[in-house]
Amino acid sequence: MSRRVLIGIFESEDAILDVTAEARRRGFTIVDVFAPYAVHGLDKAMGLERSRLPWVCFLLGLTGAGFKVWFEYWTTASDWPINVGGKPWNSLPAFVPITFEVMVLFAGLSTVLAFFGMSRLWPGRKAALLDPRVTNDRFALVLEESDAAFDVGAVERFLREHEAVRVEEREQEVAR
Amino acid sequence: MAEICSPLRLPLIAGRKKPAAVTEDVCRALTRPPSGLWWAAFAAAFALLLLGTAAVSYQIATGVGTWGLNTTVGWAFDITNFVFWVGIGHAGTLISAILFLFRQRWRTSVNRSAEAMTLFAVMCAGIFPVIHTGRPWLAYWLFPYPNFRGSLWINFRSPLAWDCFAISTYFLISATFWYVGLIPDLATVRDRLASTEGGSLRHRLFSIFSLGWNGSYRVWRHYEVLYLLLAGLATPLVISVHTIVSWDFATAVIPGWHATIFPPYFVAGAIFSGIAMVLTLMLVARKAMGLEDYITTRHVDVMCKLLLLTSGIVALAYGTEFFTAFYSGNPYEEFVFLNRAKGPFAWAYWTMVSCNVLVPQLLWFRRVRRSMGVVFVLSLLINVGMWFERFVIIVTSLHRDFLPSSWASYRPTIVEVSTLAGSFGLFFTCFLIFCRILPVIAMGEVKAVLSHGQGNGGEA
Amino acid sequence: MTASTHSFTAPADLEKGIKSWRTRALAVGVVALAAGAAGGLGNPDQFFRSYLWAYLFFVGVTIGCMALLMLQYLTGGAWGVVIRRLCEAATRTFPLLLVLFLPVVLGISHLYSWSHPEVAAADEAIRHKQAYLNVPFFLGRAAFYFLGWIVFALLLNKWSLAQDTEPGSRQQLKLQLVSGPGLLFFGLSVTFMAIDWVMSIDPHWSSTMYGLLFIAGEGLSSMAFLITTLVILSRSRPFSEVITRRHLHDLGKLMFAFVMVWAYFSFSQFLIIWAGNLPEEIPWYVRRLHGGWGWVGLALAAFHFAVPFLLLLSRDIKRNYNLLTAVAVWLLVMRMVDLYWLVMPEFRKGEFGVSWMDFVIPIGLGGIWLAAFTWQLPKRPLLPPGELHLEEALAHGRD
Repeated sequence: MSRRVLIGIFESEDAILDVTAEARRRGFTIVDVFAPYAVHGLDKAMGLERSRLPWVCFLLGLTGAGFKVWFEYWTTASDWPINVGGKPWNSLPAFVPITFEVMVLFAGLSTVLAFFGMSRLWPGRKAALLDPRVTNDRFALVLEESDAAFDVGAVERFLREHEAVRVEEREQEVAR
Repeated sequence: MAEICSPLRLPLIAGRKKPAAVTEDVCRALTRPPSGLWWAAFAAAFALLLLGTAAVSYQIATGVGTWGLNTTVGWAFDITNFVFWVGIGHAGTLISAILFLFRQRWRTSVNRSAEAMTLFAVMCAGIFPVIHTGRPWLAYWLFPYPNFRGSLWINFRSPLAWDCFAISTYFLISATFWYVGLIPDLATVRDRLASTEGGSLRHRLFSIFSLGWNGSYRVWRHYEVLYLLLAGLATPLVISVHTIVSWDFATAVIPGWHATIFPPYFVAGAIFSGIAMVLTLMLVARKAMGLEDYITTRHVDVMCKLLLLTSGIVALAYGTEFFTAFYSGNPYEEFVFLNRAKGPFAWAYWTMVSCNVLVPQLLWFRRVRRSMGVVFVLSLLINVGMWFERFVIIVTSLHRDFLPSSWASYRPTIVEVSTLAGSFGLFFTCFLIFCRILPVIAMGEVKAVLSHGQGNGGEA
Repeated sequence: MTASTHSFTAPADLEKGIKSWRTRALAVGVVALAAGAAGGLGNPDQFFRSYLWAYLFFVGVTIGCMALLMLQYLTGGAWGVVIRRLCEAATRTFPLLLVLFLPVVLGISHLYSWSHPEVAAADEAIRHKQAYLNVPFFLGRAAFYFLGWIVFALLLNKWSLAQDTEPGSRQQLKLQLVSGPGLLFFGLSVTFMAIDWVMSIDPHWSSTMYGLLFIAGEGLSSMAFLITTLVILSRSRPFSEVITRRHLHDLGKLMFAFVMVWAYFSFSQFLIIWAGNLPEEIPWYVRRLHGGWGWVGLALAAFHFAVPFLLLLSRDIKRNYNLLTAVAVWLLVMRMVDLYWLVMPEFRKGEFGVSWMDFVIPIGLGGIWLAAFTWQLPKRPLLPPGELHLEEALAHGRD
């Protein structure tokens, strides 16, 4: 399946923020926005909901910590108890440091992996660039030509009014 | 939407740069052939690395007897170096994570290289406990894995086992954090190389490691949250790491080691020495690589203030320990502290106090903080002082045992000194290579703060 | 919307509301303290113990507010602008706290065993400490702490007021300049205050971490107090117009940080002493971790750390006025429990117990302190109009 999209290229942070917010207000379907750096407030302008990554982090961290407490208890107090310095078999205070480390390790690595998965980033993936300078200093707004009512000429004028330096129409494969 | 900021905020980046200029300035160093100065520094660092490799090989082949340790002083140079290097690493995480959470935007100019420094310092640190085991090929015994000896598990009550987990986690999370921060910049370099040397090996490598990053905001949105989460995890992690290092000592009952203040005292000391090392490297790097617009006198000024703060905390800890040694009425504690100040290692003790408490007081003066030469010298002195702090804590607490018949002294051998020199060689070799192959300034982050405070003009 | 178009002075209705709170607080405070004092005639030991405990809490909130004020000047953060005037009003209660310290002075012989010559004479360890632990030096040190706190509070208040009429960087620089040494003094004074007033109740025990436990606890209790006050004030102008969930979020994060720092210091001290298990150190924990006191210790781990920690992880809670206030009030209560656990087991060795005076005296002291705070608060504009970061701080809340 493919769809037709209209791409506007912009040169400044302010321009992309304005045009994105305005495009959303006019009810256009924003496919995506491309930016060389994280622009403060752009996610709000696009109307994206908050990322759910914190939940991954929290739950996996909890899992890691829980597993490690159990493992330390099992090895030290149950599987092969050894008296060290007269400390109790279940030396819970002494288990805290490693439990904490494993929690951080689980939470951190799993969140990064979840991020790669959610964002479909993998080694060797070919970058689909809208403009060779979009990772340098250009911004791009991609609008979907959703229905027959979509007036390409009018939208192009709208983009140009908002300081678009280039506007082009493209056929795009839809992956999702 | 112009950002509203107070009239006190001055621009972070000098020269009113545009985003494309940032890409240009930072990437230029990657494509231009190395300067003579770089080759000279690399040769020196690599020579030290070779010396260290020779020393460590000799020690592994012969045994830990090649060091100056004895029954009384069982920890000395090796563990001093270990604590020193872990401490150096902490400033990187402070700058990349803690200052990020505190929204200190000046960090963007220095965080990439400070994080790289963290990784290399932790690598240097990790070497010492491993070679101190005497049989480094059995280092995996430190981890709990099912084995044919029982299974005999490691002792989870031991701070040495905690250390093993702490350092490994710290290295992995720091490396991940660093790599995640690099991805957008790798893509920037990739797309820049595509126009000049598309298809070259370097271009292909950057393509692989940038994971197909294309600046999509649907990805940026997750990315920003991910970065925040990693910063939130790295902050308690960095504190836990040096805390656990301090527990190596504090959970023992050796007078001079067994002190409850050790965890925060070690953490503050680590950040103190780490910032000093960041300053040492940055002051050289900004000159050598022409990055004066990015690492401005203001960055140096803020880091000097951090030095002053952490020096104050360290001084408070020295004072509290000395006071409590008297107050506790424990004769052993009292002896250890008097012995530090007046005993055979008094010279080390007073070096430590001068470099860590007295010398940093100069930083109260703005003129000192703004004169790069003086700051450079101060940062070196603080590094010396912090190395001696660990030496004093470790050796002076051990060398006078409870029984006077066990009293001993300690002298490092040439093998130990060479190993220390080798660790510096490894550190600088890695850092110099890093400067050549990866963007030393986080372009994506710097571009986002270019407009910061520009309305107020003026020199940064 | 610029700062100059606003007046930040408390409007008449808010001032009236504050005034009625003040009257009520004062009335309740005086009555409760009088009841406590009457009880003290019959049982002076219990009176002084409850009094010391309650006093530590309120002096801690005040010192914490001053430290946060100075920290804000030093870091130049915009987060502190909205609480600046609340902190200043709190620091103006130091003279009152000096007066309220008198009962502690009167109670020295009831509180501190080292103050009895016959006890010291019979105990080698206490004799060794006589150079430090003796009544004149104890009083001299207390005087020195108060002198320092009052001088720093005076300077911080004076220059802040001057900035209202003379906006600009001149006063801001002075405030910054005094904050560096001020924080240094804060660290030193709280460390030794904790040793003098609390640790020396058991003259045989010492821990180098002790002062830091108080520094963390004071930071936490003052932050919780400031959040609570700010939310109450945000129902009316001027705060209702400027305070947003983003400000609350920032302050909530700081409170969260203090919860973790407190837990970190407390656990570190415990782990080191538990692992060492030395006869001169471990009894302090044995007293606090067995019998009824053990349950208090467990409750601290659960409700001073674990539960608030999990709640404050949530961004939504940090951005919710009522929930964040609920957590803040909860933490204030837990701070009192923590101080109780630090102070009282020395007097009630072995068995946990609470006296009726442990309820009336904190209410009494709290009422009087709050009356002083609410008396001072409306005296100045509730937001500093001359603050250079003000615009930024307010704009931060808007987007």
